[in-house]
Amino acid sequence: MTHLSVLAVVLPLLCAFLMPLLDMVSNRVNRAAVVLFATGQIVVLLLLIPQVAADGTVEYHLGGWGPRIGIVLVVDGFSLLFALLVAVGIWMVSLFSLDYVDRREYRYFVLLFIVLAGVTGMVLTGDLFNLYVFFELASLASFPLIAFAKNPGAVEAAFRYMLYSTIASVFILLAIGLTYGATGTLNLRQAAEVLSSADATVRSAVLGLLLVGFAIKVAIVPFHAWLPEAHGSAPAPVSALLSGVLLKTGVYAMVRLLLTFGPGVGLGRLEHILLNLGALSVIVGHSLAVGQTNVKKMLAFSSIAHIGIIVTGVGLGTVYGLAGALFHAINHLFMKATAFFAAGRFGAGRGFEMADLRGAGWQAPWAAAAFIVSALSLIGLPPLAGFIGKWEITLDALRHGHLFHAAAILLGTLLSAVYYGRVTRILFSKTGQNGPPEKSGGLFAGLALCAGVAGCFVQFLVWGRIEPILIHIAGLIRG
Amino acid sequence: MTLDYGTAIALLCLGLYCVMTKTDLIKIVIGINIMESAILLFLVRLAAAPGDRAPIYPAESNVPPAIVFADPIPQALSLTQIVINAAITAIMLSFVVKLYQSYRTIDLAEIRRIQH
Repeated sequence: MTHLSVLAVVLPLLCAFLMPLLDMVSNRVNRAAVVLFATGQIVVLLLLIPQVAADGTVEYHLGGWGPRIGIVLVVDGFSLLFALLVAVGIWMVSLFSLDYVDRREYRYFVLLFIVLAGVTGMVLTGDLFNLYVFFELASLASFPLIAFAKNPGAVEAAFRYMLYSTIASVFILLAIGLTYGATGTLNLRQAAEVLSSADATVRSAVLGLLLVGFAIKVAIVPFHAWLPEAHGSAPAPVSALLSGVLLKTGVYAMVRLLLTFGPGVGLGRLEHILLNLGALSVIVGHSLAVGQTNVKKMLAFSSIAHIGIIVTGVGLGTVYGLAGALFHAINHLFMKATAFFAAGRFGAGRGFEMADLRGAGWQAPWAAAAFIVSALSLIGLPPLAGFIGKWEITLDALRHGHLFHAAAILLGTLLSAVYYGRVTRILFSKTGQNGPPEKSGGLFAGLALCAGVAGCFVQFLVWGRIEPILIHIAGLIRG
Repeated sequence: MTLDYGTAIALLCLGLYCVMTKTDLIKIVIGINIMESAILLFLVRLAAAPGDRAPIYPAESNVPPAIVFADPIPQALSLTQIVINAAITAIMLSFVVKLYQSYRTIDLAEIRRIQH
């Protein structure tokens, strides 16, 4: 039996706890370890691909204990896809952080790698309660990361985020407790089998609690109040982490649980709710982004809208819609991470209020160029990856007669063109060109930016190759 | 039975009400703790009914069939939840300390007013 799948959880944890020790040796060793472990994580997951491709699912029993008693890691196409996604995301974030965060702050990387361990474990686990524990681990490590922005507003935002997140966790845990009470097992697959024949009231209660809990976690519109402050006031790489990685794992858990428990319980109604809330998120997110005066908050509102697009794709209830949603989740990581990184570069020393950013593009041309690429991709222009996810979801919505939802996405595209256009004009305005120049020396940050920009382009080119895989995965999730 | 679950639900609502209406940061943390306690009560009640034996498997092989053991799994879950709960409370309180140091108040409404 291969131990690769458990290695993907253990490796980042090891790195997190090595950090303080290595820091006693030398700061350089520490920084090398960050790069090494972040890359190693991607390699481990890549090594898992042939196995998963051959067998479909790879199960790993921790300590050799079977599913009834022990903890099971289940790696299938869906979980491996998201594990790779978060690994690449955190690779980019840690590279960017090496240049962005104070050199002596090893504690930052301790937290970052605990987040990586948490999200990886959450994606790979086949056990309900473990999913909850890993999700809590990742969230708990992410709250202090926001406070690294070292201003009181960020602490307040972190507190608020923590409040919402904890309430959501209570709902999710209650659903897990109910599931255990009704089925007598915590194994995801076994629980789903038993639950489909359980009492109708219990089933609706479980699904309702899960829906509300995850709606708060991924900030679907009536529950989005915490997100703009938290994502907007965090340090730039942490904003990228929250928008790019943590929201995606929330989406993963939501799709996994709702689609595993949903069939036979009222999946149709559930998808109807998701579809409408998704479209609502698209409209509200984009409309509120237009009025923002702070670039990072604007990007945060745009995250709400993009999560809305993904949720709409899931809510369509078709394999194509789901495949489009998965692809948009991958794209959004690259686009939004690049946008936040770039903002972190040209905002360094100026702040993120648009009034202070006049002419910043002349000072930091590369960062501004990267921002424009990611903005074009977020708007959804064809040579860039963001186009495809939107296109697939919109087409599928039209195909199934959801005119309003397709219109919402198109309207959102127009609105985003407006606000990204405004930022670009401010960045390259003629006045205020004498601001502080771009932070010098940024090999790692440059690399992270290049990776993000490359991600926006490459995925458009390889869509033909990825599409059948995603449709296959989507087919498996939907059973 | 209904009373136990009813208490858990009542506690949950009480905690939620406290979190949503109070602006005092310490009271909010207390509200979160009440909610978590409600979940613990729920999990523990799930595991055992009055009269259940502790889940220790006896050494002798002739166990009388009438004995009902409490389910150990939800108890393990509650134990884990208590640890998570402690971590959440610790981080929240440390945020409260940080906020007090910056704003000299622990009233959320007051903090908002100072910010704007």
